Amino acid sequence: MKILEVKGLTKYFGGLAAVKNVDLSLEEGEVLSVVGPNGAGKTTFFNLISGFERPTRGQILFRNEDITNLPAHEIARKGLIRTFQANLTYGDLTVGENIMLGHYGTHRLNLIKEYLERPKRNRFIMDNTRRILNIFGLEQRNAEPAGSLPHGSMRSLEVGYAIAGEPKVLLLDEPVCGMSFSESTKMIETIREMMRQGVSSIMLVEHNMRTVMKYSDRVVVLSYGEKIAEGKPAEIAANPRVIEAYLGEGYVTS
Amino acid sequence: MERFGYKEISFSAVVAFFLIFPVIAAKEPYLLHILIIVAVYTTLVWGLDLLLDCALISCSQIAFWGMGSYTFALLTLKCGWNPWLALIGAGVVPTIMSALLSYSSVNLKTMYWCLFSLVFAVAFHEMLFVWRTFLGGAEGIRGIPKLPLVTSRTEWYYLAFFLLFLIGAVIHQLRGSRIGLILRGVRINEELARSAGISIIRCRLVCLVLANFFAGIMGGFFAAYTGALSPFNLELDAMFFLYVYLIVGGKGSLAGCLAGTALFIFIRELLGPLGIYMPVIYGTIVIIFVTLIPGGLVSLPQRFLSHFERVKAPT
Amino acid sequence: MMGILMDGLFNSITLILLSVGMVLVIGMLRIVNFAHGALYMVGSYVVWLVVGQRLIPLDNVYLGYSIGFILAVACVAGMGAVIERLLRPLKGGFLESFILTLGLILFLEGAMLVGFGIDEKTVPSLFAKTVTAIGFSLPQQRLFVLVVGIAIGGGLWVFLTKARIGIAMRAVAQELEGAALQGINIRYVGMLGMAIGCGLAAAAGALIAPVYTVNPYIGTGPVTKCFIVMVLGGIGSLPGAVLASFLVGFVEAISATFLGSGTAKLIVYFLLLVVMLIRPMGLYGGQEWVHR
Repeated sequence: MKILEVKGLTKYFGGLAAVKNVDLSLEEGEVLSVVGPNGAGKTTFFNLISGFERPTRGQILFRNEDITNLPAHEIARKGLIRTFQANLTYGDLTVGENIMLGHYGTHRLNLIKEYLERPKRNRFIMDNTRRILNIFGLEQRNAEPAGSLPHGSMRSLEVGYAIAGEPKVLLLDEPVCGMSFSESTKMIETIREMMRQGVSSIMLVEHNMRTVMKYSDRVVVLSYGEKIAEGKPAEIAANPRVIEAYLGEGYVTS
Repeated sequence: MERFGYKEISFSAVVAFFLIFPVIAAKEPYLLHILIIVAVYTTLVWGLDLLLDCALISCSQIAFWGMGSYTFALLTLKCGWNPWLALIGAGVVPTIMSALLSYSSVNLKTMYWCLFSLVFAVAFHEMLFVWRTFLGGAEGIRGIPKLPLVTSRTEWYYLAFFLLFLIGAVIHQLRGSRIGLILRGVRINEELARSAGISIIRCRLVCLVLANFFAGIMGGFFAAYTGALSPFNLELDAMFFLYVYLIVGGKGSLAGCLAGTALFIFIRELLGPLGIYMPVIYGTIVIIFVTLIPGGLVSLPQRFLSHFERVKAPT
Repeated sequence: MMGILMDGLFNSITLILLSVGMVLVIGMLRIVNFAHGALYMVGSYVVWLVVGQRLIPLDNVYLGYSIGFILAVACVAGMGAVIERLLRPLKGGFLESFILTLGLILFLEGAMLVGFGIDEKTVPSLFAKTVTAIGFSLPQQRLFVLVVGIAIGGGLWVFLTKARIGIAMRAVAQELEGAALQGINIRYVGMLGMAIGCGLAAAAGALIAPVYTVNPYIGTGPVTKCFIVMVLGGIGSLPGAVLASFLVGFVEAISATFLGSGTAKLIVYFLLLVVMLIRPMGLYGGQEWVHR
């Protein structure tokens, strides 16, 4: 089943088209990478799907439900959660508090209960937080302020935060950016583990071609806001239009 | 660990002080009056501080306070309500008004929302002057009934202090609860909060309802206490002064707001005859605090302590 | 009929100067300068000092006034540069900048209060006569304000649409990073925009000084009207500010003629509240001011 469907998605900023007529679908259980040279509109595309920007035209269906004009927080509650590339944590709060906050959007109570609840007393959320911290190897850093984490841990925290909301689909914006080879391998493994544990599908924006080629089931290539190619990783690598779009970038495949 | 004890002790000391104060001030009932005023304004500043948790800079807190006062006056004078019920009504009316306004404004970004609230406050203020028949115009309303059971100034003082404590407790519980953690997160990184499904609108509405309800209740209290109302209390200047108290005392801190309010009200009393110098002095204090001591008075002991610790431990 | 037109124009023109000035400041600083009214007040005071107090002993009132006017604009523009310096490190929060401007208001009002006392001051009019023409009568002084105001407005329009720096200023106001990428020197343009914006406030104050009286609090009324214009027209929008100024000016004039000035104000506010409820971001307000 197509868990996410995008039809004719278009976004104009003034006279400039950041995303133009993009059609895309995400199947259940698949890992889809969205790639493209800088300025191709990948982040805008994510913003449109996750509700942070309103499309000029087009339609977005999530589990057959029209989410095109819904606000971001409602889309997240429905199970579509995205991560950010920069400014990814609550810097002044502790690592533990960051993960706890990840739960509050989806595990809601009524106002009175939320008013009376001391965050640390909620058994379920504390246990789940500990579990997530464990998965990402952050348990030792539970009480540290998130802003003081090294970069790799910060990205892990961001993904952990997204997982706390129990998403069906994860939109990851450059999840391994700035990580070392071992760190990124670990991250990808963890993400795959997530897919076995409840997350259905993953869409990534990624620059690291090695990661893309190795882990994606399918790849979509954007250039100047338009989709120029789509297919299995090997097909994409050989596609002349894709190579042309990247001309001058000089990427190396595995 | 030491700092934990410091907070508990100072809180108990402050509460004890407030409780015993009427005995100390037995010869000077005017001092009780000043503290009552401090209590009233402190709750308004607390409301502002609460709204700041949602990145809302309100310019209409005084207006809602005034709305509460006028509601109390009208309910008791013109409708013959029981004053205690009217007090509740004084809290409810501004809350409803604020909810109506929020229908279109709750999505606005901080600066725009701020101007929006400012324009509302000005409009409300003008309306008080112009609507002579219903609201008394520039002369205001007189002869407002008092609250039964509250007769002496000391009893007014304890009522004010009780309300102050109650409101403070509600806000304190809020900040320590799940909602409080959500608010802290939202204030640090709003986008991130939205991406996990947290509704900013809901946060804003919660804070607005609380802040305006408290402002209304204290407005009703004020109307009952003073017995007469005039629109001149509600000038925009009064509103801006609240922010002065807030920033000098320390934003984000209940104790800070109390300290800032108390400080300035006392300064105003002391400087009475030198009134003409007040604005310049206030202005200079504000500019100095905003640029050099952004955490306000309450942040000073912390800064002093950490400086001291740095000096103490050379290795 | 003509009387209303003239009154409306008179109301609008000072409001335009003030609000366009504020839009420029918003464009440069990205925050609303609440002390804008205080700058307007300082402009009036400078003119009063020069002309009314004869700080510069001149017998020719016209020359005195001209010098006072220029001095007012220059002083306040300079103040604007200082304010910009104070506000720049506070990039952190709206709250801090907002409160700093409040502190400025207190400081400036207080300084005038302490320096020159609480009584109302008058600036002698340049023109004592009244112009009576087809259907209206307008004191010459007000006509002078109208003419000069229109001249300044016209000059500003030309500057912002034709001069390179003016266009650069509009670019900075709209899109800071884009402008920087185009090679525009943001700091320079920013300071210039700030100076012009504040200078406009002073010009409005200087023009109005002979018409009404001068005291430390004359800034609050105009700046409040200015905020109304901002909300009506859309924050940071130049055409919005001009259009809304005309709207407010004329609605006031019309209401004042038929209903008296108290109710006139109320009608403006009522109109405003209606607009706020239907279209909270103003006539020309962009979506940038609304959360998604």
